[in-house]
This record gives sequence, C-alpha cells and structure tokens, in this order.
Amino acid sequence: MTLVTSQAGSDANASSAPWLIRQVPAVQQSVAPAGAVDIDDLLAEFETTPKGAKSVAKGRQWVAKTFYGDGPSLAALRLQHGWSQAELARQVGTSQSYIGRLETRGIDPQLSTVRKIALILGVSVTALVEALTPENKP
Amino acid sequence: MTRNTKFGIISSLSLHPDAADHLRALMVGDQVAAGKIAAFLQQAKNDPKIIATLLDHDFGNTRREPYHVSKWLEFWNTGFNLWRVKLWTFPKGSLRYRIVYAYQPSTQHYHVLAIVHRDFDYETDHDVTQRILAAYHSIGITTRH
Repeated sequence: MTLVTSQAGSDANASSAPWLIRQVPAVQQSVAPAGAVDIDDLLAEFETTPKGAKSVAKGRQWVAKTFYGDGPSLAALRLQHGWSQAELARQVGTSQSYIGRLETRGIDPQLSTVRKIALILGVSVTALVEALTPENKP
Repeated sequence: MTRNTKFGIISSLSLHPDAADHLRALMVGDQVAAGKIAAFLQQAKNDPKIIATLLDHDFGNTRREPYHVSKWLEFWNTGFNLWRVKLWTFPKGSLRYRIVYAYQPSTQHYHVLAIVHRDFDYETDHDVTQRILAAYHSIGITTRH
C-alpha cells in the first residue's frame, strides 16, 4: 500500500478532511492470461531435480556476471548464489515481493533486516548497504 | 528507479504453454542454455529496467548490452506486436536459441511464445512461424491494421 494525500472529492472523507492521509493500492503486476505459465513456477519445476537445480543456479550466476557485473546490487549478490528472490525471501523469513522491492529500491529496510540479509549472503553490512544504494558509493 | 508503469500496472511476463514446453525440452537437450534462458526470463520479470528494454528495437546491437532486442519486422509491419531477443555470449557469439515474444499494450504483459534455434530463418510459411502465430492469436492480442 502507498500513502498519499487525499484529493478533494476523491473519497467520502475528503470534504471534511482534505488533508487526510488515505491508503491506495500500490502498483500491481500485469496479469497473465489463463493457461499461461509463470516463469517462477517453471523454474521451481526445474529445481525439483538436482540437474535442473544446478542448471538454473548456473544460469542465475551467469545473469549476475553478465547483467550486473559493473557494480554492486542486491540482485547480483543474490544471483551469485544462484538463488531466486523467493529462495532469498525464504532464508530471510520475508516475502518475495519484499525482496523484489528491495532490489528495485522501492523500500528502505531496517538495519536489523540489512544485518540478516548480509549474514545470509555472506557479505558485510557495509557491502550490502552499498549494494542497496549504489548511487551513494563514494 | 525506472518503472514501466501505466495506470498503476507494472509490466510482467509469462510463458505460453508452447514456450514452456520448449524450455522443458531444452532443459533435457541443452541444460546450460536452458538454465541461462530461464534465469534471464525470471530476472527480466523481476527487474523493471530489463523488461522495459524488451520494447526497444535494436537495443544491444553493438554488444555493449548483454542481449539484442529486435522487432520481428515482417510481422510488425503488418500489425503484429512480435519481438525476439538474442542473448550475447562473450567474448563473441550468442546463445544458440532466440526468445520470441509478444507484447500486449492493453495489459502491459509480455508473452513468451517460443524458444527457437538460431538457425530458424523466420520465414513466414515455416511450421515454427505458423505455430508462433497460432500462439499469438490464442492470447487475443489485437493486431494493428
């Protein structure tokens, strides 16, 4: 959910309290048509066999190196381990969407969360902070 | 942050059942390529910067990017929203397979329709082309005329 200032006339409370903070739905992912296969589900299917899991992990490491090799990022750190967002979320004890928002810098995590993710990824807190905010790198 | 959003929708992608079967077959026949393609598609779904470039004709043609995006011009010019992406390998060459996909503007959804061998020549009367067009029509994307 995203907090926005209510616009006059946009809801029932607006006329009495135009400054009211209301909740509106956050942006949503486009919906796949019926019968379509979700890529997350297909990779999960591949990962049910050792060979498939190894291929997918190597593919993710290739993506990390090829697509994110020019700077630190949470996505790169995750992919270097061969993990999906869902797998990292499982280890951290959070949701995939939370990891997704962290990767796209749509959320500012608590220090305790940063510490936990850094520990799981095997990097320092400093390195993870740099990966989460590469624009602030000195 | 770059977001390919319109009316509060984030672009996403999914695979047509045919494309999923192609990837399953590839996972048996060429696991290295299958792993790379599968990981690329998952990351494209997760990274708004990647997915946004999939509508940028000729993106990556100089190999400064890890992939090359191209409209399937023969069909694009007749109103189809059909594209293909080629994954570069370094220091030269490319993966032996191409990802063919369609884009549905009304829903901002990318539909992966097929994984084809690079030797596929995109001839309009080729069996593979006909199957891709059947998959395209099954999704119900309106063609421009």
